[in-house]
Amino acid sequence: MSTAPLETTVERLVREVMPRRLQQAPVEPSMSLRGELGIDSLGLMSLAFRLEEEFCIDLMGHADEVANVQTVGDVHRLVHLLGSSADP
Amino acid sequence: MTLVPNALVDGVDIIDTHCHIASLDFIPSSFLDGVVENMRLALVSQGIRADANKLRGIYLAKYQDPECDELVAEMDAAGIAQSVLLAPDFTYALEGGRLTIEEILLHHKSVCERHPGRFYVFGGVDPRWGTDGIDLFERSLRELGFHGLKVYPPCGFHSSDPRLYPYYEICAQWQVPVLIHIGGTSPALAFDTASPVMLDKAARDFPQLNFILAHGSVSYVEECAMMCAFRPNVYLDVSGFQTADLAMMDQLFRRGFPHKVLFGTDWPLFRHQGRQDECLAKLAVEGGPLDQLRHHQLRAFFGGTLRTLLATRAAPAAA
Repeated sequence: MSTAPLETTVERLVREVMPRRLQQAPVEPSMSLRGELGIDSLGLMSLAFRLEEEFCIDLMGHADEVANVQTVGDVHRLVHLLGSSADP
Repeated sequence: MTLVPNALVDGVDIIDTHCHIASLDFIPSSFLDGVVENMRLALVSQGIRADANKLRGIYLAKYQDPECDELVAEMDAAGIAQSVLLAPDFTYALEGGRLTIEEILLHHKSVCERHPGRFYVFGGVDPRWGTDGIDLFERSLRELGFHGLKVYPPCGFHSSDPRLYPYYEICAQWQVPVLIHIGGTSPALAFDTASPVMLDKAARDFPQLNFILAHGSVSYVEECAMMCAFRPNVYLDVSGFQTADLAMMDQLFRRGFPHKVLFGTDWPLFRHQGRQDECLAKLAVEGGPLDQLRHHQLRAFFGGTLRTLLATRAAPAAA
């Protein structure tokens, strides 16, 4: 599990699934994953599994929340939500 | 917020030619299992250990709208006035369906009643159901008020199969269009029956009947263009454009028949690509395929042509 700040790790993972033509673009919490950052449906799926592995969270019981993620900020909130619910 | 400027389609209510009800009641799980498996393989190629069950759960989270309430909300946000709900019949070709085709068509009727004025329905009946199927389809027009026929060749019959001719005869009598799936689909089904050229014999045999080639800017684009350019009664919809190169659509509009190209999304298949307003915004982007169209052509694309095809519907005179 990453020890970097959550936002930094999420940005790294988001950039991994962004198209190369947008790699120089800033990644802000308000930005939409699909429209502004150009991530397609397969990229979103890929991001979900990368988040699961990186943060040791379980997406299985939260498919609705995962499917409704729109922005980078939504990703932050989802990871917070699932990360905190996974704490002992 | 509507992302498409009203001026873009001023004077016409947008109609989406190609939608489905989002529910496993109407699409067998075996259909979607194949779609998910292709997605899993693509993720594995990226080094992702994608569990098939998890992937399926995330994908199907967008398939939970059996009453079309979410679809109507997305239509409202996108400025889409009406949509055509297509009800392909997978019940003969695929195992695992929850409902009979009659129950499926009746549910589509109930959705129309729940959202008055928002939907047209094209019912599909596998031609191998025999005379019962023909009777059911005729009922779908006469009693349920449906507006066309959905044909799904990957179920195992091509679009000029003689077993479809009784259905085409009914459509000709009622003056309603036929929409035909073109190209690849779930790996659970056949692809070798889904070429647009296979429609040619039926299009010649039924010159008074209008046919719409689904996904014509995505699959077999050159063949679809040939059919539309030279067969007066053949049109195409652009559904599935969300995952395709828009340059193909741009080229289609330059082929001399922009009035035969119809807007469509294939909702909910691409819900993970974005909401309906985001789909429209992708089309309306500066420098995109719509830039070359004049105002009357935009109106035709976004619903003018389809409205004309639907308006001819009339009950045949009693024998």
